[in-house]
Amino acid sequence: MRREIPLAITFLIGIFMLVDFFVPHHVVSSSAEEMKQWGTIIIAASILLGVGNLIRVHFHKIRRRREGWGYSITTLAIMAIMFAFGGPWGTIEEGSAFNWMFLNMQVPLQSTMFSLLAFFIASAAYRAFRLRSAEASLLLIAAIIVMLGRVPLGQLMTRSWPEAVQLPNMTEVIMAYPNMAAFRGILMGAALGVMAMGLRIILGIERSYLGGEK
Amino acid sequence: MTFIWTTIGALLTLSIYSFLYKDNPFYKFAEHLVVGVSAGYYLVIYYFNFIHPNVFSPVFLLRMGGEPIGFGSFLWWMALIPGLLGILLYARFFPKFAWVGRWALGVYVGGYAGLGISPVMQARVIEQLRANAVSVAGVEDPFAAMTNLALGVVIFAAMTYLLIVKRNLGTKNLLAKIGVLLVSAVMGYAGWWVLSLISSTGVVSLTNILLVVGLLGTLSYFFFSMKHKGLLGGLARVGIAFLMVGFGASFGYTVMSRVSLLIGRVSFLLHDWLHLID
Repeated sequence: MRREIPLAITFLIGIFMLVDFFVPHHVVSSSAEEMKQWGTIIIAASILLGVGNLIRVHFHKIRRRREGWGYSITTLAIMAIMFAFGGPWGTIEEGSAFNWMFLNMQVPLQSTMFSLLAFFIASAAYRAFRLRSAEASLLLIAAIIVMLGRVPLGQLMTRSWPEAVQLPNMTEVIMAYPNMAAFRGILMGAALGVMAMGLRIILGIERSYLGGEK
Repeated sequence: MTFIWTTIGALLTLSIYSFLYKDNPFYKFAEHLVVGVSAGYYLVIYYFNFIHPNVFSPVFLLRMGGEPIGFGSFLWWMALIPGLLGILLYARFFPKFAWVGRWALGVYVGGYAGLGISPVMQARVIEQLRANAVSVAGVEDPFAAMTNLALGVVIFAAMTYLLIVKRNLGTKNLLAKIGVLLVSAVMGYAGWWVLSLISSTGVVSLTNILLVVGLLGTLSYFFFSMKHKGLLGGLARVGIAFLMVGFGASFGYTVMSRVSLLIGRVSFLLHDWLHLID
């Protein structure tokens, strides 16, 4: 029963949501809307579960004085401050304390973290772009054109060339045609995969989301 | 006051960049700060935007969307049930009862599996096919259409020949291969340019051919039910070329977005903090 009941729930809800697309009756669509709301609440609960787990891990680290426990205090303290600012004085509304924290702490810290990748991506580019094969050189040429075509330097380098072969225009052509054709193919392949996986889940063939235990 | 906040921001920025030298306590502090701020942010957003108005408020305060609701009413139950399902997820903290969390997962996974099938077919397969079902001739006039189509086919055939046949028959010398590839790319682009000089519809024709052949090639590459030999092998090889261009373009785009973030932070340090640049 530990696996059968969830499988039955998955089947019934999955079939109901599938039927909703084909039956435009208001009872079906309003029930499906309610189900979507349930899904949103479960996602929110799972996000809070993740945050709760993070709190638990850091709390244990502090209690057992494990290496780096001082940093865990930083994490828990700033999390508590964010929560305290967010609760009584509004969330993301302009002018709220939480919004101030978001704009002046989270946005700059995260953008600095992501900008750090600019350095690591350079070494990754060296490995990926080495001229090992003809295909790799296509990757290299496309990337160089797109990178130069997006900055004023590319425009400056090719401004005396005919318009069709100026780097910004070549970038537009690459993005709009070969890139679009390739990603449309990937998108369609992935969509067919999603549909096949959805059917496997609804029919109970795919059970990995239930976990390993009985 | 502003200067103090800017200085704190600048020191945190430098702490994060200190990782480029090696892992150190300043970086670890900033890293834990990022994790704490992000976790706090999501805690607030998900609790106050989803759990509080849709579960806590109707179930305990008997108010939904600012309106009072009755205890035990339909709306009250509709708020209680997903709330209970959400709570079931927390059963994983008690290994003996962890399995009841699967009920909530069943609702969520089943719901999104069912919800995904038809819209995904509609939006990502049918609509994409419709967008790609373009006129390879580019224009309505039959004579112009035939001329454009012929030009496009000749240029594309030359590219395909150089890319597939010549590469297969040719030397194993890497430089020669790259040379063939470059020649085909330059030929293709030159053809596109010549077409643009002759007529704008010719350009539309060629770009449409690129879209159609690129999609067919990419799909052929991902078709594993047959061996990639003969026509399918050739199409798959064309698909690889399109995929490589696509991945290169995406990589270039990602690099530029990261560099743009870096420029933003350097500008913060040099302009907002040190006032060294205008």
